Amino acid sequence: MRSCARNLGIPRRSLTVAVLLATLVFGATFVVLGAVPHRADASTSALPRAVSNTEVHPLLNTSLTNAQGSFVDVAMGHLDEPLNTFWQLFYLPNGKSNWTLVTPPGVASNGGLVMAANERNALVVGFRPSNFLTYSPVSITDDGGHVWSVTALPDGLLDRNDALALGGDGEIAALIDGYGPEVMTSNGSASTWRSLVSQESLSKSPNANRCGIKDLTGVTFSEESDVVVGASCARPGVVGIFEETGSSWDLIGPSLSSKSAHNDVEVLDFAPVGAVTAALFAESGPLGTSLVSAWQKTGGTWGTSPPLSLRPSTTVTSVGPDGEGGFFVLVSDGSSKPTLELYRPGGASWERLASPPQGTKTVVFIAATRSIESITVNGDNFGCWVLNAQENTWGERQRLIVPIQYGSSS
Amino acid sequence: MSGMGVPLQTNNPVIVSAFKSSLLHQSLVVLAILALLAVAWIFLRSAQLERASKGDLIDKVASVSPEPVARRVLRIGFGLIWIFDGILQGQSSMPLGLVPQVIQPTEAGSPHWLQSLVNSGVGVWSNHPIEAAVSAVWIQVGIGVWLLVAPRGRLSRLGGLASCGWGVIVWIFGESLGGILAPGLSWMFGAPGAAVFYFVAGALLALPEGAWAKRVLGRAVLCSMGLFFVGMAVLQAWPANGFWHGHVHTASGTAVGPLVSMAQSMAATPQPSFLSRMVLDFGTLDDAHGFAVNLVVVVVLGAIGIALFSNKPAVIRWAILATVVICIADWVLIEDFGFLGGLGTDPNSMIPMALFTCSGYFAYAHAHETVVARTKTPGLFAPGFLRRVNPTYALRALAAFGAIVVVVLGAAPMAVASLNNQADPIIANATDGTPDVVDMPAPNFSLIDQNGHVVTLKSLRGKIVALTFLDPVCTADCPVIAQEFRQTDGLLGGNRRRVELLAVVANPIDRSLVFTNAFDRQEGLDRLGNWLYLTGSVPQLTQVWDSFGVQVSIEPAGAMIAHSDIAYVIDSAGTTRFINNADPGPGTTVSQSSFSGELTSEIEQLLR
Repeated sequence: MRSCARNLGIPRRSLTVAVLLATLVFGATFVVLGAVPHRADASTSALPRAVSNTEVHPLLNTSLTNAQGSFVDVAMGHLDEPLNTFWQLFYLPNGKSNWTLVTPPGVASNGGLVMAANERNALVVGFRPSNFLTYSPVSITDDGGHVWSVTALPDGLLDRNDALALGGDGEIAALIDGYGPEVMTSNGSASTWRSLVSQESLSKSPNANRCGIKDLTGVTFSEESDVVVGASCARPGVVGIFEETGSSWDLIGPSLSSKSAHNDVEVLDFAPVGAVTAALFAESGPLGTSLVSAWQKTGGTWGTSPPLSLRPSTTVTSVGPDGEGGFFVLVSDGSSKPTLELYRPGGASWERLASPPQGTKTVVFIAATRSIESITVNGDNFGCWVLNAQENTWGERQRLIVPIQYGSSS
Repeated sequence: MSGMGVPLQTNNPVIVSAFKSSLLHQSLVVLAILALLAVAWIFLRSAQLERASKGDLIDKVASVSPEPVARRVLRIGFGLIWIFDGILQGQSSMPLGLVPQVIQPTEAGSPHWLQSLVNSGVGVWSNHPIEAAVSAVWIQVGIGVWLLVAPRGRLSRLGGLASCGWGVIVWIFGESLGGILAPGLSWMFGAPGAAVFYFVAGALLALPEGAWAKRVLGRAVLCSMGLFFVGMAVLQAWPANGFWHGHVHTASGTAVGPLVSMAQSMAATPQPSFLSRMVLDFGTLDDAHGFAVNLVVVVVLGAIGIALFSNKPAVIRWAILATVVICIADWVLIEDFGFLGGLGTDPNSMIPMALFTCSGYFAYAHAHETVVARTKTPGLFAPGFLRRVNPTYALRALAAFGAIVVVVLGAAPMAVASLNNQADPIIANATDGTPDVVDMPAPNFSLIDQNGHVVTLKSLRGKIVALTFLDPVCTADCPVIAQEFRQTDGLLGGNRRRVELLAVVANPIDRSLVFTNAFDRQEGLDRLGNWLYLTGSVPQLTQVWDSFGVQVSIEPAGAMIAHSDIAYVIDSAGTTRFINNADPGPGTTVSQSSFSGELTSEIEQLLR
């Protein structure tokens, strides 16, 4: 140090102070730089919307039935690789015991399939966008997937079970992501589409401020073939169900009890069955998350189920209609077997059925045979298990290898 | 159809062959320069000897004082390192490997602004990998030779300046500032990067020779390095950096610490087994005794740093010795010799760091021995140069001049290439092979365009037609090919009026106008005036596919339609002239730009 000072011609004391200061600044800089924490992993930054660690947004794995038969929609393949995850559609005609693969051909299904049926046995399937495809092709069948007619939406379907709805006259309602969430409807042949309502315009409808729409979450048709839109509300205690009434929109969701006044509510699923419109919604509040099933009675009033409380750190993996105006809910807590809960309109409580087998992605309530089937998936293996109501056990009925074309989407 | 998303392998034969060929070509140019210099030298010596025989030579041997030892160490050391780096740049996987294997890993974690800056350089390298890689070889070899052959005078100082300039470029674009702005900074992993020492050493070599006659220069170097080592010791000791533990227990089990992780990854790279064993053993040692290992490192770094501030030569000597020892230990046990772990571009930071610190010591200890050269060397073009110049100086000056020419010849192609934002067509060739040049009539067809109008190929006579086959609901290749066509339209400029860009639907199911229009909107093709997306009935389409050799098949279980990726270029008389495999390969902006460049070039050939 002394020599530095001498050589540089600077007073020794000044140099000592300068060197000490420089050391401090230098050290502090490196300490700060080195102490910067590593960036959070991308996967952690995209945390699912959840309350109390409970994930209530089910995947598109679901089922539905119409008078002809039943359909299930499940993800298969390498589920940890988006381009090697292929969503598949299976069909079980009434009176048959084996499911068949009926995924509409021609389009990569990596983004997910959204399906809807009507009482006239038609089924519409929409392909969610994936990779470089940004709009959604749509396939329609009325013979259980033997013959498909095709069309396309101008933009991509939202990642919701009820992003599509099929009216009795063949009219389709679709919830897409154009310039924000937007509902489009087709003519009967689905060759042309018109914008029915966007989230922005719905928010401006007369009583929408009671909800304070955060998101549009699904569409369905009412008994009168009017479009019904589900939403999540920013205002607590309000169920965001809107119905088209002429040129306007009415908030028609059920009123909740005072216990739910402080809960955030989000409509998860619709289940139109005959003249009944049923809805499943999630309530999240300080005490946790619960699911409520609701059904519209004659005259427009609603009945609601008792809440199904979800334990922390559980995930709702599949929801769907039970064919009688109620809903099933498949809940996983990370253990090997999920929990299957069922609520039917008028019931006193949710009913817990026998735990479905490991690998169950969804279940199907087949009204024609009153049987309950579990659909398991493991890679390209599809399995079907049937609940034996007397013994309360599941028995395997069918196993199927699906010819997944790995690598075809990359 | 396959290939999308799969990056080009770094040993792609087309690129490797072009790189070697370009290197060979430029080697011949360098040899020619050497030959010219040899001739010049022979001519010079003959002239001198002839004049000497006539008693006309004034300065037979000019007395030249020796170069300061510190400067000599720095110059020769960094000259050799530059040459070594240049040789490493000649590795065959360098053109395609530098960006993914060297630059991108180092820029990860750096601030966004730095990543943007680095990416601007990455763009130049990615678009012109051959020119860039060859340039890097000759620039670095040239600077190395320049430093070695020019010991004194302006040429030598200029060499230092060149080292300084290129060192900065490498430090910024190749090393992302040595990772000093990224988390996890550690001396053990090579912070602050090797190139920063090339830069500083170059700056010292560019100083006037008088600077080496004063101890202050050596002290400045030693004090700077002292400060650096103290800072690195603090960082090494900082608990949040995790060097105190060989492994840590987490909720999901045990995870290895950063040093063990580094050792494991270095040992996993291809190298002789005894070397990987050595690195792995050190990792095992740190895993078992993480605290002790880090304590030694922190204490040694701190002690060296403090000792370098001392004015006692004996203390400094020990510090220098410790510096050399710990640098070599780190170089062998952690840096894996710098160039063995993956695609090496330099011997990493430890050797330059040790060399730089040693030269600081020599500058401090031997400053009093330095005699500033007083002899004025005549300029190359000065009158009487032939008579007055020292033969050794003349030889070195000629060699330095040759090295400068090599550097300039190396830098020129890269400088020119950097002005062109369009990727070289060789990338498309590497992905798809070279296009077939043919001369055969294109089969006519009649289909309808996206507006519902009938279009026949014959109706387009008089225009050049670029034709491809696209599935409107394809999620992978087709959107990329569509963008390549769109870029081609942009590259054609005013010539686009004479060109029709055509696609025929390659999907027997989703083939209606609803789909072609949706695809056009998705890809922004609906805004192009010369774009036609044609479709028809299944029999009509099948006939067109068959006549153009396009395979289309429906795949089961949620897979998209499989079809050939192919692009035809048809001249104005309806004759097919080029057939391109249009597989978009990695589908990056570089590969897209390369293919559109190739397509544009073919079209322009037919427009002439």
